[in-house]
Amino acid sequence: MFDRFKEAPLARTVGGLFIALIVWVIARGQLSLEGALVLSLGIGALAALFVADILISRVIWTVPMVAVLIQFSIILMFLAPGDPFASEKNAPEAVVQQQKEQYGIDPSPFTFFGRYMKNLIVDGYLGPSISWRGRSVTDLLMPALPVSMSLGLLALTIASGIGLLLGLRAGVKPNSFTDYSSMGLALIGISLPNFVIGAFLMLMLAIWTGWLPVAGWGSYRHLIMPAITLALPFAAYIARLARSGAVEVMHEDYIRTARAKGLPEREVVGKHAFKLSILPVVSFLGPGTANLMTGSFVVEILFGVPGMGQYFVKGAINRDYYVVLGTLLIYVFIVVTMNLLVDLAYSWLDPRVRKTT
Amino acid sequence: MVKNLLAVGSVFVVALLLVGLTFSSTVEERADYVLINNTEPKTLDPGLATGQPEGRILEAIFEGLTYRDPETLEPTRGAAIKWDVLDEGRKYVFHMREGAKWTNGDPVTAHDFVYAWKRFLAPETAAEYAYLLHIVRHGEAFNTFKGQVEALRKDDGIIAKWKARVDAAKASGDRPEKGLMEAKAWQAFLDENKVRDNVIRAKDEGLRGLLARVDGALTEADCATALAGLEAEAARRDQEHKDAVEHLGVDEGIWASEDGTKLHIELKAFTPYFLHLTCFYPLFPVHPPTVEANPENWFMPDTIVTNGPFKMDRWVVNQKIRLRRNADHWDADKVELETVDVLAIENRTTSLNLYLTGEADWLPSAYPPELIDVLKDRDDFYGNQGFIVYYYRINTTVKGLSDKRVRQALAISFSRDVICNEILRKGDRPTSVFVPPGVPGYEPPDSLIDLDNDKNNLEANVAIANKLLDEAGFPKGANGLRTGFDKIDILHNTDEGHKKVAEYIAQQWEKNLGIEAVAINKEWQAYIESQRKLDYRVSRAGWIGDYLDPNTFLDMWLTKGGNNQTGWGNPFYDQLIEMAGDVRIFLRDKETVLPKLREPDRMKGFLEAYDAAGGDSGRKLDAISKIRFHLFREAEAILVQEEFPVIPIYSYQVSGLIRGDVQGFYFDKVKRLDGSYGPNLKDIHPFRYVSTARSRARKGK
Repeated sequence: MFDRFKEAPLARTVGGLFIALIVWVIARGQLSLEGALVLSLGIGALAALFVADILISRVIWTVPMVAVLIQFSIILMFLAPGDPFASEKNAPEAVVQQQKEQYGIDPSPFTFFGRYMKNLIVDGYLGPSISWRGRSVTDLLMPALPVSMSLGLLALTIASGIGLLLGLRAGVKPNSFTDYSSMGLALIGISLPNFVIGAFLMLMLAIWTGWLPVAGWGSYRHLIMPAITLALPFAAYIARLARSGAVEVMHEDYIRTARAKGLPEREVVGKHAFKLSILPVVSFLGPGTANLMTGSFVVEILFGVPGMGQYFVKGAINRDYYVVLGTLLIYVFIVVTMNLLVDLAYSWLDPRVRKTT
Repeated sequence: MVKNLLAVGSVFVVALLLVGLTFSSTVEERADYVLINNTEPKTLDPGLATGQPEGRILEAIFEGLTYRDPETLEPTRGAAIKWDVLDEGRKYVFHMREGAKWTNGDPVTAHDFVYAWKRFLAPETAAEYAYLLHIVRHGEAFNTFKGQVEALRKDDGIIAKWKARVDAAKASGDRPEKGLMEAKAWQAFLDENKVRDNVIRAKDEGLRGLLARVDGALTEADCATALAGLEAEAARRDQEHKDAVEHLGVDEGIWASEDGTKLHIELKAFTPYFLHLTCFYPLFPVHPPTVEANPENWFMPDTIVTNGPFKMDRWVVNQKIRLRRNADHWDADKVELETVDVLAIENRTTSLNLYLTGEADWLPSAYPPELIDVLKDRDDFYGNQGFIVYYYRINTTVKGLSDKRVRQALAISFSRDVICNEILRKGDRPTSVFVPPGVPGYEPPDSLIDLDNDKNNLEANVAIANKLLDEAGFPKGANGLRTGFDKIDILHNTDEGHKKVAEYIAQQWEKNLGIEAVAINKEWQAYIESQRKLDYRVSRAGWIGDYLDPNTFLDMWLTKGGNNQTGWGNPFYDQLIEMAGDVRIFLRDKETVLPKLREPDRMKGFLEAYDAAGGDSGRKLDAISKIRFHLFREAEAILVQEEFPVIPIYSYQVSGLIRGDVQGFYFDKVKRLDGSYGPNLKDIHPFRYVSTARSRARKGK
């Protein structure tokens, strides 16, 4: 039963340890020392023994990459002009020094990296926010992350629904009226920036008709405008990708075969063409979903959504080093996870991929 | 395919449910009064807060010794029921109100204020506003001297470095003609090691003289004087810090009577605006046990203890803070609003839309600026002159701009009227001086900038300016440009309005004076850093007054002051500001100072009034106030008649929208003590006594 482990014991041990590390960092902040230790080692060991190769190899690459990424970001932040304590009013030197000490801002990006990694790995601590006093990065991001993730998921389903319908209809009958009208719509969706879409929706649905509240968070009525605003550009993108996928697939031999054996068109498209047509869409969904789920600055500011998109921007503007690194870690985590899911989805959708792996 | 769409649909439903989980469980009714606060407060610790959004909340949930009367904005009896002013305005005794309580039931005592103010001044707190209490005896020493002594004395500190520097100079054969070291090298040493910051307001005469030495060379004796001066300053500061630690909060500076009913404050000198500071949020009290228990985040909703007419109910980050009437507050009977929502909405379009759909009652200045033309004719729009100046800094250390004639020429050769009324059109007023108008009793000096010409006859100003440039030695060349003059970059932070103004001024300088100029923008942090490092030629800036006194605008131009950032300095200016800080110094030195004043006769009048006051302390304080303001007027005259390290452009208008049913909101005027009306300079609108249609309906009124 340990076949997988025996095939590559070294890689699997390292992979298992890395997985344990990831679990540890996440769990450390929430659980007791012992709890986090048991949980992470347990999951790490199980993973080392049983998990699919693809996950192990991903993790082995990802963990060092994240460390490099953090160091690189710290260097960039330190190179950028200004610092978290800069304000138009020049504080006395002593005050600035005191603040720097209090927040552990070293003069060198390398010692800062060391200190940050120590906090992260030993305590699972993402650091304090410098501009929002008295709150840690976790305090800020924990309530914001579920808001952004669920809103993003909602927008994603809307985008996929609309996008796939439009794109496949267009791709099945290229150069028809359906095609041109669908792609025309998609072009509008891509070209309009979302602050224009958002402001227009707000004007129509909140100001003129009074159907929906202008902004805020707390009921389903607050959801509609931000979700649509987030979804429309993605829907347009998905539509164009699905169309190009479908156009290509419809020329494949196996579709001709399906038609030749007399299948109704609905089944040819729905059953045979569908899976392969959406391959380009699926590979876009990895980074796309990660973007949607980590929130959008514009939409959050416009509709008063308490999500985490704004921390990407404000953290950078305020040079709030810990917030920047915290958002970076979450973003990386989601992107890597999504890309992994995409790879798994590929092998499920396309038999050719399955055979080679 | 149907199956696949079904899958997408089910994910949709799951997502919908998940979003629902992030809604807070209680759906709240609209509050009695809803205001849009622009941004999420960065902290609600009164000692650490620095912005207006924070101030609006703090003034509702805390109460200082005094609070602002909404109509006059004058300090009114708050946690203190009365106060005595003694020793020619240098000592205050506040009598605490009996029955003033913290929200946990503890009484508010003088000890709480001593704790809060000491904490505010403690260097470990690193409060940005701590300098406000430097006017209190021991305040500055307690706040900054420990760090300065350390910087001077530590192993690799300033004194050690200076010794090493001198030794190196002695060892090296490369000496200037007369002396040991070039004055330039000395100045570079001062800047590099931030020496001035650490011996600020030095008393050692030898060191003071050397700090001003920019030309020539330092002899060996000078170097020894410098060393002795640094050591003397370190010793003095060390001693004063020790005294401060021993006495502050105990029996000097700030202390409370044993039973906590009286608070004693000793000021370094009579400071007319001190009482106004007691209703400014940095000086609000904090509840000591609460702060001790969670020093970093005691102000979170589940731990915060306050003493104001409202208390914090809920804080949803990046959304809103809900305040609720504090029924146990001594003044609760007069508070009409049961609930107040303070919204953290940053987008200006959204803010305006919330207001227009009735979801907010007060929108302070957060509307899209381009809509001003439409909004300003509405009945619910208010606008009034603010305590904010928009100006350009000039880097006086670069070639050309170091000549004051050039700076004068630059200051008078564009039209402020065009900027305010044609380019920006948001109601701002052209200004020829630096302190915005409206401080009661302060009369600004005349200025070289003639606002009348500026509006109707700019050619007259331009002619003067061109003459000044000719005199300064930058003649016009054949191509119409001034020879020997480098192109001026006008630095501004990224903003449409700043850009338009900078482009206009650049074009005017080029057209009117033959000086090439161009507007360049930088992102906020880069912009701040460029100013700080004097890496600019001309730079846009703005300054908001902290308290209603010219000092808040004028003390920033002290030589090498932290906010100066122009490289400009003038010893007489520094002396005037120092004397305004403590008028006794002027009274002592008046014979030597009077001849140097621009308007000595005016000052003599005030001095006579002071002498005539005799033992009448009210008249005496009045005369001191007048002398003090005249010292500021003389100082400001140096800026705007002659030196122009800065070019004042306009004073801001602050404006907003307030719903018609809101009562008790005094929007554009403030009733002064003498019954006249003046502008609400700081745009402060306490909602303590506000009522709305909603609150009145609930109360059945």
